Amino acid sequence: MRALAAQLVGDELVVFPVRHHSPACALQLLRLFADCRPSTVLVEGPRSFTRLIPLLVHGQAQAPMAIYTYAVGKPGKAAAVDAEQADDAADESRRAAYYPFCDYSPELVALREATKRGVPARFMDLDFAEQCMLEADPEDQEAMSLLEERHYRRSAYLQRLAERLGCRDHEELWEHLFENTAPALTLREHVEQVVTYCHLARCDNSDAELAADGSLQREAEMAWHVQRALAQRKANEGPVLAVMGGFHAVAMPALLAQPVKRPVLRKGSVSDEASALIRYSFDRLERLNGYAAGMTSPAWHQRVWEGLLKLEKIGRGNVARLRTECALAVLGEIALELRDKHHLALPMPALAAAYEQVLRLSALRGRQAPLRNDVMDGVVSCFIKGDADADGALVHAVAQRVLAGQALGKIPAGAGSPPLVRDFEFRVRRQRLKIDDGEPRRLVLDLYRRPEHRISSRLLHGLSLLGVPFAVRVAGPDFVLGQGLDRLQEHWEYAHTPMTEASLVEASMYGVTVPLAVANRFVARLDQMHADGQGRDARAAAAALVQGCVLGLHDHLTRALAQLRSAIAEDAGFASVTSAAMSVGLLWESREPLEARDLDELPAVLRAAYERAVFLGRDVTDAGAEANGVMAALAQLRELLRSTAGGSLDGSLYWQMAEWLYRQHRSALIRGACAGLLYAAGMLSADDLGVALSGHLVGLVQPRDAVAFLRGLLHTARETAWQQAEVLKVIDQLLARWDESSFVASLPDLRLAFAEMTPRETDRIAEAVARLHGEEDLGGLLHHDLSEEQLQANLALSSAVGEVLVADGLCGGRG
Amino acid sequence: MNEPTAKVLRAPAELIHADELERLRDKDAGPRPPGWQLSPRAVRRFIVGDDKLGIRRKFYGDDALIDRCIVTLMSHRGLLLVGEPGTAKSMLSELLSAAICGRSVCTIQGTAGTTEDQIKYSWNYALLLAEGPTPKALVPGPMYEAMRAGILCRFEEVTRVQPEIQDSLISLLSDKVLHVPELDGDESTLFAARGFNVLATANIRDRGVHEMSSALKRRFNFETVRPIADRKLETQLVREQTEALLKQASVEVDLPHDVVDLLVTAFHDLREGITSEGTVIEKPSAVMSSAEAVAVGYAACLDAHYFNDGDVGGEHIARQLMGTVLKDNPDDGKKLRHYFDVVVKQRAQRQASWRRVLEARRELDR
Repeated sequence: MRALAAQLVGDELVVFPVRHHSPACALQLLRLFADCRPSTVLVEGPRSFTRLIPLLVHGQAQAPMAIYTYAVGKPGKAAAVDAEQADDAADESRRAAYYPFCDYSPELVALREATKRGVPARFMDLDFAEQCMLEADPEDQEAMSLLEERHYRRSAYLQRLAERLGCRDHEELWEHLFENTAPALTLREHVEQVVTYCHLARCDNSDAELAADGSLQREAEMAWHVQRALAQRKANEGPVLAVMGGFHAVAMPALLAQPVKRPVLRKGSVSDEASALIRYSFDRLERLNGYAAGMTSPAWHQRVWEGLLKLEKIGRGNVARLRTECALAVLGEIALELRDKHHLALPMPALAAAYEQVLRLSALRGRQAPLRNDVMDGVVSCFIKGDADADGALVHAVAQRVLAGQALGKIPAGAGSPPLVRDFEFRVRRQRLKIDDGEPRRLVLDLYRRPEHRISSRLLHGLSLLGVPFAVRVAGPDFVLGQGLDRLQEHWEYAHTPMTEASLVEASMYGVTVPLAVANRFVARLDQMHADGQGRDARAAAAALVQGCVLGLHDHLTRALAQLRSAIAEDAGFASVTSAAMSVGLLWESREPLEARDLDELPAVLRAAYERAVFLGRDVTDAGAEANGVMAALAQLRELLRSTAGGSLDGSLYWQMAEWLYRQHRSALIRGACAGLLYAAGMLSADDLGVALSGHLVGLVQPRDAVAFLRGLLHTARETAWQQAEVLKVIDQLLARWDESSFVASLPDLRLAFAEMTPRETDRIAEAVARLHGEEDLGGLLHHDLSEEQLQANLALSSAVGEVLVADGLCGGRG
Repeated sequence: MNEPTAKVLRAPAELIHADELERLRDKDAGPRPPGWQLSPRAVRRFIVGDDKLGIRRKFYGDDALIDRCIVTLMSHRGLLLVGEPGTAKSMLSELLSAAICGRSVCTIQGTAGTTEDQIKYSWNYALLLAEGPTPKALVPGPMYEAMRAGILCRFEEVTRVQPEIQDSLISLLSDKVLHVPELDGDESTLFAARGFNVLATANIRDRGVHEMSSALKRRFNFETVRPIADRKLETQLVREQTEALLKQASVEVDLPHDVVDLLVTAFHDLREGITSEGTVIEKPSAVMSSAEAVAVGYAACLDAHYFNDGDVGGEHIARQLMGTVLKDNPDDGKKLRHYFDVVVKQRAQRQASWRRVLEARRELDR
């Protein structure tokens, strides 16, 4: 290892191995610059980034920043290097990545120092488009990081080493081994240790694996650049400095021993590529927030880094003490936020105890100074009073936030128009929309038959979500609200106005491409729903999922699905869960226009919603406004079981529930509704229904309950009213038996019971009633044989009644 | 196993693991906090295991939790382990005291009836009447004992104790001194020897527990012990422990792999509220810990051994599972029925072992 390290650091060439975002490496690099003036500085990163260096090191630029880059492959040639793969990729493939920088990124330190000293600096890696061609099967399409650390993450050796040293993961292992001690080491010692660490991680990867993910080709390219820089270097100049990830650096000596053949990659298959400098934020750098291009606790490292710089200025200081002070400061900040913002009682002794805990923990774990995880453990031990999952959630979140930080970077003026505007234009033109003038235009999209129309539809829906005034949907199916589903086409009106571009510039904070910005807005919306306590609303969660499909965010649906799952699990509303089940069923059936075919989880979610609805169904009540919702939901579930989506559901659960509700439920309305369901499904014979009906209507139950039963029955099986003679007979008897006050009391419900009949159905019922009394029909409603006096008298009566109704406020001013 | 444990039904941790503790003590070079039998790192090794010294791992799960516990016990604050029942809180507490002070039996079992003199001290009333209050007549309670000897005092189920009685711990924890006002002079105050601390366990969410005063809460560091999340690990644990119990009871029954698997799966489903297939179910309020799983497995084996031909199957597990879940909450019955209807039924269509579980479904309707 020593020999290997010695080969890296020479008089002519210094290959400086780093770990991205490592303050320790950045500090050693600073010292290297203080000791010697390199002739050229080469930095790992796509070589086309070189033109962005002036912006990166600009006086107005403030970290965190990131270079955003993308490449679009031509249809069918996305993986031109691998002919077999090419067939699969029929569509145009687009890939994008971030290359984030913060103040303590060794790469940025190298560029800044080089500029300060007037040393030429450039990036030396394959371009992003070329890297994409090499790696046929990326892990994450949209937002991968160019500073990925999977080699360390996956190394079995490092895993075991971490276990032995009591570290949770390779991140803690690195902090344990390097960040704590490196500032006190000499350059040579530091390089030796990094080389050892990286070499061991590399041993876990076979050459085939390294070739498959493009590492070998990238290393060849970098080695070629190093050799060229060496050749151009004059004899009296300082060494060539190559800053690269330690994982690649350890391969350099072997490569550089002989002339390197530069990998030849034809970029013919790339139709578009570009990169831009964008501002970044600490919370997006935080890996724990779910961004791939990340690290843990950027603010914690920033604090340590700033301290290190101060120590450097005054000569060698005590690094352990610095880190201990940082730990105390962070604890203080967490305590302050918990106290001030969240009114948690955290007295001084608790802070002192936490500090003591942190120190003792780091001692127990054999560390000179506390690491991030020690600080976190101190918080967990001393700030949480109660159950970690319940009382501790807030403390945990606050601590996480303080460690991650909120800092936002700054981009110097002149960095060009935001990538989002260019991306918008590219996409809109690709969909053949006219944006060269402000003319309003109409657009008809055939969602079912034309895939490219679906892309347009998503784009326009996405722009609406972003609040960009560009297009308005004037007609078409609304899958989110479940309206107009029989329509096949969407009608839009659009116009490109100056407002459009202005809003796009504003929206560019959400993301650098339209899909990314839409996705981020969508995720923010999910977060908002969660924060507003809608996390328990299955109906809203299902709507969000459908909306995600309408927006074409199929890669981001995992989150919406997860939220829907948990909402289904937590929502206690029968109607709401049923409605969620219906939405999911609808989504499954409309998978053509919504392209939800690949959502393999849908049937499982549908089943979960259905089963939960059936479970909740036994607890329904008919209180007030809920009654209609419950009856509608009962009927909806029946529809669901009949639909194609519901074909695989276990119907017996539903019918068992209906049977139980019919027999046991307290509410006559729900018993009636279930009687109707069972009768319509042939599970309750006409005779049994008649018995139940007369039992309810003629028995000792209150008139109100009797009518409620009838109302429930007619709601779910209205055909009984004319098919079942028994029904009308019983009602007839009942009406005859009731006195006026009971009749008046039941009138509203009776009216509701028959209110949903169509005119034709009303006619059929009237016929049946007439037959019951031995008549042909009930006679016409129009009578022509009235005398004039009768007519006048009736008119007078009618207006008198009208006045009374108006006086009682019952007629809505209809005089 | 050592001699004295042979006659004992269940020996304390320091006897069961006496040889491991001795090995650790011999090899222990690290500095020991005052009053400790082992260095903190040796204590850690005792609990999370050490292949080199042949120390078996005794606690599965969160190693960082162990670090935090050890460090807390070194500090001036007491340690309070919280979590659902059956998450091995008491076992962890026993192991920690066995390793740190070589004695895990200095224990108070908290109940609603625990009184202050059961915690601190009481009197030998015959002597008290004969001689008046003298040190001889004083009967030390566990806390007195622990303070005098400078060892850990375990306090199980501290939240079941009445809040007024709980609060008597406050002065012991902050001043580390116990007053005996009945005695005179030096004997009226007992200063805790170095090494004293309190290691309590509590269940916060269960019924029949009392809220702790915030003054007492401040004197404790809370650590939450979680159920084992790894299904494979839990399967292994349940299997080992069930087989150990069966061996102790001299019951020769073969517990098939798929039955243990089924048992752990059912427990996981009901505990997490979501099955391995992603089906969401309602969590019963009954405790679904690994310890309960072992109890169910053991009882199922006994059932099969004594009442059937010894062929342990799903129906035995199902019957015992019902007994575990159906305790006093009628809602739990509904939830379990739902679990059988939507989850077990589905699995029964695919796997024979689950079919036998489903057969027991009708017993739920009784």
